[in-house]
Amino acid sequence: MNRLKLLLALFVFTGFSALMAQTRTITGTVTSQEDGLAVPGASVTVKGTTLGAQTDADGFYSLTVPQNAETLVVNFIGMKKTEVPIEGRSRIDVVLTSEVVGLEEVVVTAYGIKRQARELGVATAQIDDQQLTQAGVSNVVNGLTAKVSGLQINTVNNGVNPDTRITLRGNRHFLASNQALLVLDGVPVSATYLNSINPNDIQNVNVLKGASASALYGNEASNGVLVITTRRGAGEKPVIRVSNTTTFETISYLPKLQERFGAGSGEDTVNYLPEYTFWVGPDRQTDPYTSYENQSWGPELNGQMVMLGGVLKDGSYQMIPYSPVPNQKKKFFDVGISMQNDVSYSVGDDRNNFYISLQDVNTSGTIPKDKNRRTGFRVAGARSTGWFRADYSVGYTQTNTDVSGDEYFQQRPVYWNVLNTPVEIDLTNYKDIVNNKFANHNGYFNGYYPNPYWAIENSRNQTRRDNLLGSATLGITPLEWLDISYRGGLVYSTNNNFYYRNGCEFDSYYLDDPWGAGGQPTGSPYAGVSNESLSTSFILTGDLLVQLNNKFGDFTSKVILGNSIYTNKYRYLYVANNSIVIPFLYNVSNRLGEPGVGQSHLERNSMGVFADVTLGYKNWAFLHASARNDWDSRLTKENRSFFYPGVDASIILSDAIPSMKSNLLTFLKLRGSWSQTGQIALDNWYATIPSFNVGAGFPYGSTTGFTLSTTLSNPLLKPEITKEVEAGFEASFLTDRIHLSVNAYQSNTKDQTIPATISYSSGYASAYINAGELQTRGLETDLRLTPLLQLGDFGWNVTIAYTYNTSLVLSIMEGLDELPIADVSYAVVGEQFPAIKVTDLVRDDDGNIVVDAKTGMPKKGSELKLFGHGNPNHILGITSNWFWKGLSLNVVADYRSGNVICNQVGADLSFTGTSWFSAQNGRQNFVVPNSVIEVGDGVYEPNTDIITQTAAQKFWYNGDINQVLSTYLTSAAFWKLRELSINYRIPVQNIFNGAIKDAEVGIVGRNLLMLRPVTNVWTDPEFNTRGGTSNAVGYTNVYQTPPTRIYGFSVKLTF
Amino acid sequence: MKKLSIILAILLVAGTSCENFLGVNETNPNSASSVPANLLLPAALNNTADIYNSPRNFFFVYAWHGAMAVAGNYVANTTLTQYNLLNSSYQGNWANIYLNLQNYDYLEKISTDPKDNYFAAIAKIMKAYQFQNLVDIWGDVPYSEALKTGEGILKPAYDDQQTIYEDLIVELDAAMALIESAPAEANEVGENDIMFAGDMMLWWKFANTLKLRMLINQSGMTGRDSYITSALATTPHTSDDYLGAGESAMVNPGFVKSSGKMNPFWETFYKQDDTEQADGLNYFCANQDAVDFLTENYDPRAERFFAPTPSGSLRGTYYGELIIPSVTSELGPGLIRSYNQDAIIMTDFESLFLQAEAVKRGFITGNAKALYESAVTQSILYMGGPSGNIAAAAAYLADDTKPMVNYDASTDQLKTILTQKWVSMIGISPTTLWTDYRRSGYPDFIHWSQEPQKKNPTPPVRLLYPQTEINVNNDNVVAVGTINAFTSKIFWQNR
Repeated sequence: MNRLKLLLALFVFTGFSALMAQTRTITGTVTSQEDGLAVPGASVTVKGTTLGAQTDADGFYSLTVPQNAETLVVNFIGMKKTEVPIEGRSRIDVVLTSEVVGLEEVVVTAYGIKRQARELGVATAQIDDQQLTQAGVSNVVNGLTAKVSGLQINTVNNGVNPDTRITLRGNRHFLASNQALLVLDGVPVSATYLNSINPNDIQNVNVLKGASASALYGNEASNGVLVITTRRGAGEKPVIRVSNTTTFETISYLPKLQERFGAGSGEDTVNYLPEYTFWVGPDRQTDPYTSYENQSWGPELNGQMVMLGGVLKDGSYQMIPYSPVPNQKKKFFDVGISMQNDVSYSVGDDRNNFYISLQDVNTSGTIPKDKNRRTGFRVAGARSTGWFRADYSVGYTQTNTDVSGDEYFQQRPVYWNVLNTPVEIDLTNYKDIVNNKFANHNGYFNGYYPNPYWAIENSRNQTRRDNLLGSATLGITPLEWLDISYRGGLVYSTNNNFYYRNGCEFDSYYLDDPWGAGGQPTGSPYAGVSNESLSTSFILTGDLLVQLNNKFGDFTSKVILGNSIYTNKYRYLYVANNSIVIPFLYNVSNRLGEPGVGQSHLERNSMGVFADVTLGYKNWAFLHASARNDWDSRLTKENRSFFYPGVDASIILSDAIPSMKSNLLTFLKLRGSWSQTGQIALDNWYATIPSFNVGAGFPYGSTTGFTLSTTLSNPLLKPEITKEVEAGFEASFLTDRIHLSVNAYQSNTKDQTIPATISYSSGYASAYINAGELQTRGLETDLRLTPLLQLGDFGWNVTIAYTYNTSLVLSIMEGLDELPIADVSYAVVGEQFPAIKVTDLVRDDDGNIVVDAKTGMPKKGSELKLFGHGNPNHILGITSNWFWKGLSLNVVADYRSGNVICNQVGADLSFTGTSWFSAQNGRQNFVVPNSVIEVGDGVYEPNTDIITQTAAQKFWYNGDINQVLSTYLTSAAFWKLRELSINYRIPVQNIFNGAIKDAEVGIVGRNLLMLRPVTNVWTDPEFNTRGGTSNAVGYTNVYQTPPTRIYGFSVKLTF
Repeated sequence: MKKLSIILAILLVAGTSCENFLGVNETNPNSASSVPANLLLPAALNNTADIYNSPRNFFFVYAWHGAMAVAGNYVANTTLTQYNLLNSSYQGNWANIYLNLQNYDYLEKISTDPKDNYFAAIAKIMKAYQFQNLVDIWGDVPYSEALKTGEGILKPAYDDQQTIYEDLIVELDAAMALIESAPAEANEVGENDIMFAGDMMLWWKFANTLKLRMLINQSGMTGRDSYITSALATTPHTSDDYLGAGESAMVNPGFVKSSGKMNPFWETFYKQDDTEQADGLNYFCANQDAVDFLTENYDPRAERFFAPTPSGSLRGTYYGELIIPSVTSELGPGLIRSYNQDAIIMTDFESLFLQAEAVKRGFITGNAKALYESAVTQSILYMGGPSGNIAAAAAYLADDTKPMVNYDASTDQLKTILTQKWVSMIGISPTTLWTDYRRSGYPDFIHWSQEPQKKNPTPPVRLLYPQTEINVNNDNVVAVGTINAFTSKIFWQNR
C-alpha cells in the first residue's frame, strides 16, 4: 500500500512542477461541530484528484491545488465526509459533523479487524474517548455505564477501589462467569482488569454484544467482548496535555434509621414501665436504660443526663444527654477526596507515531484512613516503512489499597459497629483511642461492640497490585490485497495482600467485668493475627492473522485466516500467623502454634485456528461467516477440541432499493446472525484427574497423611455450548438526525458445568458434570437524536439505550430442578435466573400475614419461597448533551427494574434496633396491618383487634418477622443520575498567543441522585455481596459501605 | 511465497510441541494423583478419630441419655429437646463417615498384593468399624453399591441392615486371616499406624473385639443365639483374644498445640493459647441423671467427668428443662485432659465390659465378675485424678450397699454391667452408649426430655435419612420404606 503511495507522491510531484503556474494555496482549519474542537489528522483532498493534505494538531491544513479545482473533500473517521465548493476562496474553514453509527463508520471487531459498520450482521456499539471521560471518571467502568444497550454494569460495592460486574446481554451460565471478556490492544484479559486502566489512554471501546460478534475470540468470548483500543500519537506537531480532576465523595444514603430510642436491651419498656428508671450515676439501678448496651431497645430519648459506659479503673465515668446526636452516623464518615493528575505527550505522522502518558489517581475514602492510589504510565508507538509496519503499546499500573479490616471481638467490619451504635452517642468523640481513656478498649462504653476506631487503627487490609500489559504487532503488506501480521501480547500481574489485626488484652480491672456486661473482656486476651499472600499471573498470547481482500466486479471478498495461542501461568503463596506473640510485630516467625501456609501453581494452555470470510455485493449486501476450532489443555485429549461456527448477513435496503431513500428515510439496514460458542467453565483446571489432599491437620511432626478429594474427578467434561441468534434493523431518518437501531436476540447455553451433589454413600460429596440449559432472550433499542434540536450555535443531542432481557432456566439435570448458586440465589427450572428464594411469614392465599389468634404475632413459614429474580429485566439509559459555543452540559441517567434485592443489613439492624424499621409503631403493641387470623381450617378473617404480645426486641428481633428474609426483600428498581458535567472551552488561542492551544474547565458530578421505591430503605440495589465474578446477585449485607455522591472539577490544558 | 513457507514451517514446529503444550493439565502440580498406602492410612485414621471425638457430632446421644445437657446461657436446641428430628439433622455425620470410608476402600483396593496384607486388613477392619456405626444409626444403608463410583454408581442402593452386619463379620474374619497369613516379608505398617504403631497383634485383637461388639449388639434378639455362637466360633474367643487392660484403640498422630492440630475433643473447648473457645466449654453441662448416679454411688470418677461449681458441688440439669440454673457443672478434667490426649476409637474397658457381658450371657467362657471389675477399674484409671487408682477402684467396687456397683450385691448383674458401662462411656463413646441403651434398655432411670412440647415420650431410636440422600438418591431411599424416628428400630432392637 505504502509503495503505491510513494509512487503516487512521485507522480504528484512531477505533475506539480509541470503545472506550477496554474496552482494556488488554500489554508484553513477543520473543527468538529459537536464540541468545536480542532480535528487533527483529517484528510483534505481535491475532489477527483489524489492531491491532498492532513490537518495538524490544531486542525490546520495547507494545500496547494490546481487553479481549476472546484471542490474539497474533507474526511475523518467517525465524521461525516464533507464536500466544500472552493468558489475561489483561499481560506476555507470546515466544520465536520459526527457520523451516525451504522452508516460509514469503521468498527473494530475481533482481533482488531476494522470493518465497515454496514457490513456487520450483528449489533455492536462504539464509545469514544470523549463519551467515556466527560464526567472525569478515574475508572473506565463508570464511563461506560448506561451508554450502550445490552451492557449492564453494576458497581457492586463502594469504597476506595470498588468492584464492578460487567455483563453483556445478561446471564448465560449458572456458575461460570457471566462477565464480558476484555480485549485490550488485542490481548484478552478478565474484566476486572478495567480497574487498572487509565480512561484517558483509551481511544475507543467497541462493544461486541453477543456471542455472534465475538465467536472469533473462541473460548472466553461467549459472554460478549469489550474491545479497547488505546491511543496512538497523531499530529505532526507534538501535543502535550495536562489535566487535573479533583472530586469529593460523601455518603449519600444510609439505611433509614431511628432517632427515638436509646441504649438498652429491655423488652416492652414502653408498655409496662411508663416511669423510666435510669442509671444516671455510678450506682447502677436497673433496666431499661443500659449504659454499656450495644442494642438500642432502651426507653425513649428524653434529654436527661445519663451515665454512659461504666466506672473506669480511676473512678471516672461519663455523663451524656440522653438525646439523639444529629446526623450521628453520617458524621462518622469523612469526605473522600480523589485527585487525578494526567500528563500525556503525543506526536505522529502517517508513518510514525508516539504516545506517552502518566497518570496518578490518589483517593481517600469515606471511611477514615481508607486510601487507594493508582499510578501508571503507557507508551505506544508505531513505525512503518514500505510494506512493513510495527506497532507496540505497553502500559504499567501500580495500585495500592489500604482499607480498614475487622475488629478483635466478633470480626465485624467498621461499618457494622458504626451502624449499630445507639443514636445518643457521638462516635466522633472516641477517635483518639490512644489518649482518650473513654475511647480505648478498656474504657469504651460499649460492652459488646468494640469502638469502630479500634479497627481503623489496628486492623488493615493492604493490597498492592502491579499490572503490566504489553503488545507488539509486526505486519507486512507484500501485495495490495494481502496483509499478514503477528501480534504478541503479555500480561503480567502481581497481587500482594497483607492483612493484620492486632491483639487486644484487657486490663485486669476490666477482666473481672465490673460493669456486669459479660461482654468483650471475658474473652480476653484476643490474639493478633496477620497473613500475607502473593500471586502472580503471567499470560502470553500470540495471534497470526492473514487478511486477503479482493474485488470481482460487483463483489468484494475479505478473507481472514488466523491462528491463536494462549498460555496462562499462575502462582500463589500464602502465609498466615494465627496468633501473634509480641504486639505490632507482623512477622510469621512471631507466633504461637503453627503457621498457615498455602501454595499453588496453575497453568493452562490453548490454541485455536480460525477463518473468517466476508462477501459483499455492490456494497449493500454482505454475508459473513466465521469458524474456529480450539484445543484447550483443561479438558482431556478426547474432549479438548471444539468448534465454533457462526454466520451473519446484512443488507442495506436503502441502497439496494434506491427508491426507498428519501429525506425522511435516509438509511435502512436489516441484519441477522447465528453462532455457536463454547466456554470451559472450570474453576479447577485439573478437574479431569483424581486428586488427593493433605489430611486435615497434617503433617503432625514427621507424620503426614493424605485423603481422597471429596469431589469426583470427571474425565468426560466438555465445554458449555452457547447458541445465539439475533436479528435487527437500523434506520436513519431526516438526514440522519434520527437514528434507530433495534435488535432481538436469543441465546441458549447447554451442558452447563455444575457441581452436582451426589450421594455421599458413593464416597464423594460432588461431581462436576455437564447438564442444564439457560435461555436468554432480549431486545435492544438504541435511539439517537443528533441533534434533537439545533438553533444556531445551540444544540441538543439525546441518545436513549433501552434493553429488555430475561434469562430462563430450561433445565438443570434429571431429578434436580433447583441448584443453589450462593446466598439467596438459585437456578430454578422454569424461573428467571438467578431466582431469589427466601423464607417468608405464613400468609393466606391473598398474601395477608396470618397472625396467632392469641398472641397477634406473625409466624415463620417453613419453606423457601420464590420472590423474583436478581437481574433486572428493564435497563434504560439516557444521555443528553446540550452545547452552545464552548459550553456543554452532559447528563447521563439510567433506570433499571424487574428484579428484587434482599437486604441482610435490615436483619442486622433489627438485632440492635437502630433502624427506623425496628421503631415502627413507637415500639407499642399493635395490630399487624393487613393481618388475618385463622378461624377454621384454611378459613381466615381479618384481624382487627388482636394486638401483638410484644412490641420491642421480642417482636422486631426475636420475633418471626425478623427470622424471615422476606421482611427485608424489596424491589431493586431505581433511577440514577449517573453523570452530570458542565464543560467550558476557554478561548485561549487569542489570550496566550498560541502558547496554550486549548483549555477546558469542567464541573463534574456522579451518582448525584438515586430514586428508589419507598420500600427500599436500605441501600443501593446495584450492590451485591459477592463481588463482580459471582452470579449470585440480589443480596447485600453490611460489608458494602453506603452509596456515595461524587462531585468536583476538572481542568484540561493542551500545549 | 518464501515468507509464507517460513510461517508454515513455524506452524509445523508448533504442531509437534502441541502434545506437551496441551498436556499441562494432565498432571496436577498442587496435589498428588495417587498416594501410597502408608500415606493414606494416617489421615484416614485421624479422620475417623475426628468424627467420633468431636463432641458436637454425636452430642445428641449424651443429651438424650442422661449424660450431658446444654448450659443455661444457651438457647435450647428445640430440634433435640422436642425429639423433633429432621432429615437434615446430623446429616453431616453420614457425609463424614462415607467420605472417610472412601479412603479405607481405596486403601484396600491398592493393597491386593500379599505383601500389603497388613494394610488390606486394617482397611477392612476400619470399614467394618464405620459400617457398623452406619447401621447402628440409620439401619438399612448403602453397602454393596456404596463407594463404587469406579463402576459408575452415583446412586447406591440400600442394603438390608442385618445382611450388612453379617457380611461385616465375614469381612472381619477375612481381615484377621489376612494378618495371620501375611508373608514374612510383608510391608510393615510401622509409624504410619497412628493407632497401634504397627502392632498387628493388637489390630487382630481389635478386629476380634469389634466382632464381639457386633455380635453382642445382637444378643437381645430372639432366636439369634445360635448365629452368635457359630459366628464367634470362627475365630479364637478367650479373654486373651480380645483387647485387654491397657490395650485401648486410641489414635494419636502426634497432636500439637496449634489450632487445627490439637485433639478434636480438646479443641472444641480450648484455643492454642489455652484460652477458652467461644461457645465451647460453657455450652455443655452435666446432666442431673449422671450427677445423681455418680454422687449416690460415691463414684471416684464423679469430679473427673464433671467440674464442681464454685460452691464445690456437682450440679446438673435434666435435659430439656425450661429453666436451667445459671451455674451448672462443666465437663471435667478426666474428659478434657490435654491438647495431645489420645482420640478414642475403642477403650479397653469397653472390651472388658463386652467380655463380661458375653460371659454373663454364656457366649464365651471366663470370669464375668473379674472382667466386669477390671472394666470398671480401667475406666477409673482412665479418668485419672486423685482417685484414679487401683485402690480407689477396689474400694468403690467393694461397697456392697451399691447394687449398681458391687457385682455380688447386684440382683441383675447384666443390668449392673450395662449401667456401669453407660456411665463409663460418658464423653468417651456416644455411639456405644446409644447402641447399648437401645439394645438393652439400661440404664433404666433416665429422665427423658423435660420439654413439654416433645414429639414422643421417649427419644428417637435412630436418625432419619439425610436430606441430601432424599435430594439426590431418592428412589433408593423410597425403596427402604417409610421411616419413623421412634418406631423404625434397628434390627438388633427386636427383642
